[in-house]
Amino acid sequence: MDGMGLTANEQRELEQRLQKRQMKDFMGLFGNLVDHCFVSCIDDFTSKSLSNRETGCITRCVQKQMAQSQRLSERFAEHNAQLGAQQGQR
Amino acid sequence: MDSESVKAEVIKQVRQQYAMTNARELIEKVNEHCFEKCVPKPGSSLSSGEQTCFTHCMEKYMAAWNQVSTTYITRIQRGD
Repeated sequence: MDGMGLTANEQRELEQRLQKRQMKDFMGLFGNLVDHCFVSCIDDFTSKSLSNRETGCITRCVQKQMAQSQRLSERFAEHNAQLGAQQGQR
Repeated sequence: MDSESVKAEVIKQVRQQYAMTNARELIEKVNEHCFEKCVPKPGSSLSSGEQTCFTHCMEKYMAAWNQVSTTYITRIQRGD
């Protein structure tokens, strides 16, 4: 079979589970994002549609959050690489 | 069924399942925030002002959700 010793069925099952998990993780992140930006940007409930200010605020909120997330990933990867290099030297 | 249809079917089911879970969580979150923002001093029933506030709050939350989706997708497509 393949190197991991899984049958084709097990492989498929694993892929399905991973996909489900990824979906769930993503929806969780997304929900938190909406939540955070809502709380930060929207305080006025005298109207039921978003004002221009609120729309702008949400857009910036999402962009900042995504930029921050990306930066975090990059720093984390750098850090890991550093650790790996240090351990390789021992 | 060929493997492509099987895959499409699985994806569809996963999406439906997460729409359901998602809807539940969404409702809980909306409830929590809108209660906090609209009902600072709970009485024994919701006044009509509070009910209106709730309605507006829910509408705004959904609008915020859509706005976040749009911004997110735009950003992803830009390839940043």
